[in-house]
Amino acid sequence: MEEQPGLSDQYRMSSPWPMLIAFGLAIAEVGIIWPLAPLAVGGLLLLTGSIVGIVREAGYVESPWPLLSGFALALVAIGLALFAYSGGAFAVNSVSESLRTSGSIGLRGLSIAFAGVIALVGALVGKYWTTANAGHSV
Amino acid sequence: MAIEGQIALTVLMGALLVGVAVWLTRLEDWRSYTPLAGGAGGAIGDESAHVHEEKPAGIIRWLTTVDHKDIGILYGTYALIAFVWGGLAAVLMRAELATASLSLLNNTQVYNALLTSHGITMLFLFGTPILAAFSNYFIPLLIDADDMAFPRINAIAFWLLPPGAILIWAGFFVAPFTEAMTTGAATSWTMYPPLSVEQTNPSVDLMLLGLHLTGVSATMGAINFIATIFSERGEDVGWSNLDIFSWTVLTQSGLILFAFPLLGSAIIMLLLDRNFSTVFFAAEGGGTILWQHLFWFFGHPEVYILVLPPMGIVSYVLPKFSGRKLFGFKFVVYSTLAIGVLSFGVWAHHMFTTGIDPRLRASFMAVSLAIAIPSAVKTFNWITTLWNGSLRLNTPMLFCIGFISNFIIGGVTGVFLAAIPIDLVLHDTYYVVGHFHYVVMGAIAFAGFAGIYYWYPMYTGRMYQRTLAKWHFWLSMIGTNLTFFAMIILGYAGFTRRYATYDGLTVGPVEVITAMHQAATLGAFLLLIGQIIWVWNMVSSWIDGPKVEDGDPWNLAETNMKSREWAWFERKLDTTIATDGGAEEEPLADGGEPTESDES
Amino acid sequence: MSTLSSRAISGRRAVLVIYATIVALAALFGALVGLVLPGKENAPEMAGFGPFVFEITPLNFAVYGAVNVGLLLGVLLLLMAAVSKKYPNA
Repeated sequence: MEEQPGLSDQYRMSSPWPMLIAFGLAIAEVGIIWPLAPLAVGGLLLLTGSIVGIVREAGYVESPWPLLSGFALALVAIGLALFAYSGGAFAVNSVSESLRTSGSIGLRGLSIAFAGVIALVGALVGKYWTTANAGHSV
Repeated sequence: MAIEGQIALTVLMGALLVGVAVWLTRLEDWRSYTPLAGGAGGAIGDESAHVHEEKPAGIIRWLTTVDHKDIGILYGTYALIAFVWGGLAAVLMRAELATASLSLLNNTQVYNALLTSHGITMLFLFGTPILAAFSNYFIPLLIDADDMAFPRINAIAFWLLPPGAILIWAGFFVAPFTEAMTTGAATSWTMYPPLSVEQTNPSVDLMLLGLHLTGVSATMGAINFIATIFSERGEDVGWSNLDIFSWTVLTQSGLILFAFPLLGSAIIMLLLDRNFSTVFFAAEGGGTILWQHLFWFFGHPEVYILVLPPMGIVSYVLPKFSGRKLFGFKFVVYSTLAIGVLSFGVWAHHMFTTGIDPRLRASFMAVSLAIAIPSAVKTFNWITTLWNGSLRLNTPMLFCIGFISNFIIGGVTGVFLAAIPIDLVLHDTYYVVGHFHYVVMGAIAFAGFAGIYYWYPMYTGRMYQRTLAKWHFWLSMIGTNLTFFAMIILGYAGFTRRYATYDGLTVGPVEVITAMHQAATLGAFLLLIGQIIWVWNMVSSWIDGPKVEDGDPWNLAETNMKSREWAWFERKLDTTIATDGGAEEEPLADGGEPTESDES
Repeated sequence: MSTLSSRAISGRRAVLVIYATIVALAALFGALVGLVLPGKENAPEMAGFGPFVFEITPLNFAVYGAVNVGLLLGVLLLLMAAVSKKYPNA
């Protein structure tokens, strides 16, 4: 941590990221367990974006974009693996219908991968077309 | 969900993300005069040189704070809301049970859902967070640390709770709008399979997800407390003079560290069983008893997770108004550690009637009886502290004494349950419910009230209304004993728990059972009135109670009992009065009254 | 704010009041158990402990409860008083 004890007068008392990380995790969880693609994609973006934000704020990385692309690639890999495992099919299911078909697992995989793609685009845009230092990926 | 639904969700989600992005850029305004906003690279090295210490104003302060005191207030507010929800669920159930037949609720499933929500809410959304409120606010002050070891993780841990609560309660909100959900999850808080696997109601999935989040939150908090107490103590705070409350929180955090991750894993297995056709808890797989083992391996330490810090609060506050130091401090600490260790060896006493190996049962009975000893040691020490003391019966003290007497009743009824032959008779009766409510309401909540009143001047800067506080105590004391005493009698009469109706009774003393149910309902309403008075007192005193101008509102210096956190408070009052630019951490526009406008 | 400290009372008196209350509760508890037990199926006629055997009635059970709890907690109370006399400053 940057904040050393005994240095309270230099200590930052607020950060926007913790709340966003928590909400991102919650939304992503619901979106993935219930295959609700928009929630999964949005929640994952919120989660990864905020983790990158807080890590940069704490000073563990200098620029947010390489870390964000790392998360993005991991999401793409996980998502595609899940999609491949399900046999390459996907279907939009109702919550009250079965959640267990391979189609719904494929949908989960695709949404994770899609979140990764958007995050990757965000990272590239952030790196080459903005001057923001703590920007969010969206 | 049909495709239109997905599109609507997409739009909503997109709007949320855009909103977040816009909000973040607006936050740049208050951060822009730090060098951090200057550019991607070179900010880091300069950080310590220029970072300002101000908090943003208004609601943004509460959404972005990483200050342990603010987070403590957030925890407390959150726990209060959860307490109201869980309490109203209990009042509805008791009102239903005033008559033998179904009269108030639509159907028995609603009763089951209320029952589930009451249990989960009180344990996970009220009990654990209210303790986190105390430990967040006071541990750094008590051990002379500037803040928690990981302030941002502290904030993440808190913010996981509101979504957790929304998911746990979601069934009640969503059910009216959809056919798929009938009502809230009705699995009871123990979530035993096969029931919890076979219930198709999707609100069970949401509840499990929410529980998982609160478990993550508790674990993050525990790691933080362990790190803080180990590494952030001030120079003159060693292990030998660490206060009793920090000791109990340290032990509690250790328990959380071992118990909650296990609950999280078990919940994921249950989710997989429900949604992905795994067989962890199916008869052809691990079997339903596996769940009970996993659940209670978490569940019984959870009891001590909930009770240790309240014991710490009582051990801390009781001497202040007894005019003498805690009797046998060392033994109170040892017994805390002993409870922490033993608590992992008693879980199967919840399963005596499941047909597990009798040799296993006997060993669990032995440990369960043994864990009564450290609890008795603590009680012994509290009574001895009282015995030689000269007592000032302020509201915090009354709640401490109430804690002790209710804890004795709850504890003694529990020792009987630990004995296998008695448990075989009383298992799943109201006796069990009465026993553990004596502990959770009569003791844990009472200690919480004691702490809330004791430190009220510190975190609000104002004094509560003492007459209302006395009303709150006596209504709570009488209500608790009426309600749960009646439940213990109901248990002896053989009345089983978790039933919404009892109009089909043919055996047993039916008149007595009816009378006892009505007595319990009466007690619950006394409790309700008491808690309404309490909430009113807390809120209205916070808004316009008399301001505290003395750094020692309890006159602790008289008996040489003034402790570190009041010294801090005195410094804070002094700097607020003397200058504006002091070294203390509250330079906000509202000066020394941190939460006045936002918190009411 | 010094007015907040109400007058002090003796700790011994408070402990003894709590003791008396809990013994009274035990008596009440015994009476109620004596009331509900005979109504159950297969309830025994007599109950007791060791050589003391008596009929299950509210009065008998009230005495039983009060004596049992009174003795048990009383012994602990005496023990506590002795310990605190021996180590007044522990």
